[in-house]
Amino acid sequence: MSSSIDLGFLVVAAEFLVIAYFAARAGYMALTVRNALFVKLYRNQGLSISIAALATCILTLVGLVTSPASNQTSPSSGPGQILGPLVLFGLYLALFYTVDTFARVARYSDPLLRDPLHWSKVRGAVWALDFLAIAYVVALGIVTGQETPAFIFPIAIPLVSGVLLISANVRRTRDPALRRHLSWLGPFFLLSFVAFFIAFGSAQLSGLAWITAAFCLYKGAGSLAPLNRIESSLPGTVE
Amino acid sequence: MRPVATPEYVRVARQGLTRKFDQSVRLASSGVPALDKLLVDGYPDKSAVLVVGPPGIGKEALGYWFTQTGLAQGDFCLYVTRLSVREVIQDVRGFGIDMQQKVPLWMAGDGGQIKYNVNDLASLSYSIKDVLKQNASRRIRVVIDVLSSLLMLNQPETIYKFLDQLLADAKQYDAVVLATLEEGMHRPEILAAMQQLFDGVVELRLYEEGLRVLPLLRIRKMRGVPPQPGYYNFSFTKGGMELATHVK
Repeated sequence: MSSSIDLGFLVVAAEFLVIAYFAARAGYMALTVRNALFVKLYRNQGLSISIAALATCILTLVGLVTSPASNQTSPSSGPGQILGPLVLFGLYLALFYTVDTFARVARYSDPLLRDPLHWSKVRGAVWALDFLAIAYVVALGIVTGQETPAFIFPIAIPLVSGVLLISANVRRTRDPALRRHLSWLGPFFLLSFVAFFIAFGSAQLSGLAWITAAFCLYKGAGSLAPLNRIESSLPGTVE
Repeated sequence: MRPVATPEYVRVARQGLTRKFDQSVRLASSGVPALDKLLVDGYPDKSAVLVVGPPGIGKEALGYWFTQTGLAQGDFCLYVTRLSVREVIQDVRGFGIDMQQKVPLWMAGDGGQIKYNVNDLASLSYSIKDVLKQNASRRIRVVIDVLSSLLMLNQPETIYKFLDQLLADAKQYDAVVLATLEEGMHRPEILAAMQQLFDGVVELRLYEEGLRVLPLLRIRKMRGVPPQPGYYNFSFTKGGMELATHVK
């Protein structure tokens, strides 16, 4: 019995570590690209992906520590109780910020400056809705001390708007660099949605969806901007 | 990082062929002292320079300084953009550049003296030529920030012809043209063909070096200046652009 629990925990731990690894790499990559750029909008795009990746990494590690299989602490006690929801909402705010900056970047990359899904007109309302949903969930949690099914709204809003905006733009854009970036970021949003809402009951399916989502985030961070290699054979390059 | 200096081989080469000793050749300052030093005093007169780089790296800033310096020297400046003037001014301020006192003639998507219509190449060509003609008595600087969108909406061959004619007209009026082009938005063969049309190509690109990502500047080619294969680290400060030789 003990060995089967240990094996189960090892599998879960391995899953969590793989997700944390990809998320950490994505965060680092997005941050280095962000630091190499100089225009605020594009720097913000890198920053938002980096925050989202970092939050995913922290959340995964918190999940690992508070996992029942770890026998260290229960999910309803310890630091995970406070840190978990905070990082979770932080992650989805960062994801929403990613969606928002991406929509503005997509407008600039369009030769006719078209707004994807009239985003500039509706973004204020969607931001307000997301904040209201978070405030409602947090307030209800403080007053009643219980989780409410409404907690899905702050999570669903960025994921659904991300999937919608990216799928609308990936078909329309004529910018291959942006299309490549979106073709990684789109599956990330979709798989996160699947992991959260569809595969919630199945640990294996959910784990697989999270690993693939984290990998897509890592690839998405790497395709934020075209990267080149220095031609070291050229004279004049100081070695 | 080493401070930038005119490379020794450039100094040696220019004794034989360069503009420094040819007093008939006038130069147009880029507005960035460190870049002027690298280019042996600025962009050549009657030249067309292409700035290539990914979105967000600051290509447009070279256009802003080029315009600001021209305005300060009393040159006539035309700025062609698909954005609104308000958006460009906001971006200009982001680089710590003050363009409040003197402003260029704007050919913009919105808010400019001349309306820029991305779907009408003939009108664009006519408008630019007309402006050049009206200001033929002055030194002219033109910044074109619309090439990528034009290439996305038209056949590349159409844009090559349009640009070839436009640059020839600009040279006829002693103008110096600076254009920007997005890296990653066009096929490599289109990028190569575009570079052929220009007298100078300045690259601002992101390079992966180990775990780092570095923004580096490279002078791919420049008329009257020997080939410069070196890379330069660059950064933008409130005082302008800083360059330093890249040490690997």
